[in-house]
Amino acid sequence: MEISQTKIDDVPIVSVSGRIDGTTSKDLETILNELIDQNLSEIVLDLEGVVYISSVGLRVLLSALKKVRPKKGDVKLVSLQPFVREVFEITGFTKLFTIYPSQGDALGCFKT
Amino acid sequence: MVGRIKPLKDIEYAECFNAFKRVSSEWMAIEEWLSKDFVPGIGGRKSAKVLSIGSGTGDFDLILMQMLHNRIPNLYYTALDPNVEHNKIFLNRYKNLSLQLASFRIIAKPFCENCIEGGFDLIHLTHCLYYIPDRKAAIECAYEMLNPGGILLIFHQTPMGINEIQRTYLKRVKGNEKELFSSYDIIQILNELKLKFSFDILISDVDVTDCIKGNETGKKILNFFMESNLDGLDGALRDEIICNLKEISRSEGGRYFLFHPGGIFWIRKDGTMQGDPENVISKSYHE
Repeated sequence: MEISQTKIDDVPIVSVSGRIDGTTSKDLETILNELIDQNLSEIVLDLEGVVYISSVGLRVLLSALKKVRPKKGDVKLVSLQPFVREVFEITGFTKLFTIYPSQGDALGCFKT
Repeated sequence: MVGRIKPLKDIEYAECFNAFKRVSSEWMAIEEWLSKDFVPGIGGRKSAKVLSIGSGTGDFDLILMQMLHNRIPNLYYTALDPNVEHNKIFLNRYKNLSLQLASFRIIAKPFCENCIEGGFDLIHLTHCLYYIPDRKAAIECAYEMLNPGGILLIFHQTPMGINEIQRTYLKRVKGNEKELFSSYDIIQILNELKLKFSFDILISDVDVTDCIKGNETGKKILNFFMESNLDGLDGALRDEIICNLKEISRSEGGRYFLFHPGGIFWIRKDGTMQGDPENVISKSYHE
């Protein structure tokens, strides 16, 4: 799994590629927690390069969402591959997360 | 192989469930959700009628009734469960609480149409839809038994955690998948019934270290996962299940934790979601 970070208009964008599983999800969790600890509660998570996500990975995403929502923040997801989207639909995560086709769309929603 | 696998007797189920409870953080997560998100949103009232469907040993009800009793002086509480062993435990635990409810009764029978008169303000189905053959009819029937403005709460497993193991092995172990049912299926049913609902997922884990070690506690927990007495299970299949369990769990401080989140559905009889607590993650859905 590879993770890169950037910021646009003070909104952190975390781009992930590869597999988010029991072995790799800790790294993603650390990065998300660091952002939340810096009081950044609006986060864009670009999953375009993610080919697999396990339940351990889903836990990391849900945990981040639960931490930012009380601060009126959000974790907006971008560009889910078909397999990952299917996992999100089956688990009900599509009911909790908003998914956008591009980073620009997700960022636009934070601005409004 | 399948022929040697026996269903759990009532008393065995109660033991296995107890072993599971000790290693699961689900009840803590539910308690937190009830106190922070649900109970504050119900408003003040003088009386309420509550129906618990599949009350089990009362783990959920004992928490709920104490929280409600603090806000509602006259609470009429009815619990339904066909497991007599569970009912005995629930009754004893209730007596130990010394709560002054307006009424409390446990009825030893399964939930079905006309099994009890309606008119409830709150009905909950907590981890019981696995055992009801016609789940859609049960949800519809529970909804119909609500007073106007009443709330139906459904707590159920999501497709993650135990359900993952069941999807892979239940049929091979038991020969059927009757209990295989998750929040995904409930969403489909609620959409078919055109019922508006709110949905949330609670983070909780099961410490499955004992299962992986293969000790007596672990065997009981695994029996609970598979809804069966696995004493006669083929060793190779047991090893395969354990291996899979280890693979999908996360390792932390030498222990293994299975992510087993709980799904919560909240349906109001009048179809609106007004008064929803702000902290509930999802919005209302009516697809």
